[in-house]
Amino acid sequence: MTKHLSPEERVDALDGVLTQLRQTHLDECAACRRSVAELTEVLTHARQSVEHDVPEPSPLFWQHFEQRVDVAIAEETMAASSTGWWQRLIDFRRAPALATAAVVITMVALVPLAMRMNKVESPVATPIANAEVELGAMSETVEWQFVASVLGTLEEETAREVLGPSPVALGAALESLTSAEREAFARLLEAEMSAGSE
Amino acid sequence: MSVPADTTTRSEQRNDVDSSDMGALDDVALVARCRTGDRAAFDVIVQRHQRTVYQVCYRFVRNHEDAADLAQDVFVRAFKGLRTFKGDAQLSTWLYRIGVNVCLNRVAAKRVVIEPLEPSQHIDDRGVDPFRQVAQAEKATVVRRAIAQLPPKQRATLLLRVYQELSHEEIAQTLGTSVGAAKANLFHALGNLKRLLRS
Repeated sequence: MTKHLSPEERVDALDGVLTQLRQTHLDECAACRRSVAELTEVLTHARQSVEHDVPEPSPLFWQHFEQRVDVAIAEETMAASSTGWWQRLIDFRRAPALATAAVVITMVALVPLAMRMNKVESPVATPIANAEVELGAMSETVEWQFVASVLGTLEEETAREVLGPSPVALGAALESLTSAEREAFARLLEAEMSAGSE
Repeated sequence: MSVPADTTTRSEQRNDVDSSDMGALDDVALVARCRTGDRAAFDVIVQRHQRTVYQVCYRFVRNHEDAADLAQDVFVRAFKGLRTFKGDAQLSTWLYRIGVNVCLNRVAAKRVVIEPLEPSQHIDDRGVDPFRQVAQAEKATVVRRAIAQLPPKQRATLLLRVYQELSHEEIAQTLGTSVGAAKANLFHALGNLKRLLRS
């Protein structure tokens, strides 16, 4: 005897589209006939459950449904157009470039500080000098032009608040300094504060 | 996902459209008009397919409120995706596909309401034997409850085959599978349904 009907062939048998060769097997095989008979019975139960399975909504529902779809589409369209600009701005592909730009801006804010530290021969001067080199390379990029245009619209106080380093980052930076560096930094702060009070 | 570029209001467009002419267009022509920004054409698509889409959704969630929400979602997604509709399948099959995906997502996220065993309110007791009708309605409810417990793909296959009377090819297109897989899904759905009904 040939092999039993596969699941697909049993479904074909339900539909009455089994090939002649496989139909011959079905006629001769009690196991396959029993399996197909059981499937037929279940399928009949399922088909009998179709009647009245979906209650008909009121005519008013259909009248309002089209309007409901229309409103939903309008809301989706408006939402898509209003959120598009900032979604593009925070696009993750631009994030590394924007983060680099933010670091450079922070460095730029510290340039006057670094110049004073150069006078006291602080080791912090070296990374600042490197930052200036990076700044030169960045100044031609689209990201830098964007940041520069945004900065141009900010008041000085606002720019300091937005772009300045966070207290947490400052604390971590201070902890990483050597005792000599801390002394140099303290002298620098005293000089800054006395200059500011004059 | 792209959104058709049309931003003009429907009332503006309707001034240019004869709705009776629009109703005579087939789905292919309506889709073509939608792609040119004709919102009235999409209204005709909604009118033409809303009942079928609603029925598909109802058969998954078995309550009117969720089915109405899902059917609305299907048409919103269809509108947004019209530019990506290639036309190699019928529009109705494409809407089925969106509907099944939306419903499977909903079913995965939210427990489906189990249909109560009380006989349907829609029984016509002016018929031959009301007791027999009640018994049939109860039996149908038991079958539908069993179908609701099937795994999602088997359930979708059975619903599309038995309730929507789609061909195996259409089911395969709707579910994004091969015809063989669609048939195998139906086989396993019937086998599981048999076990559920016996238990």
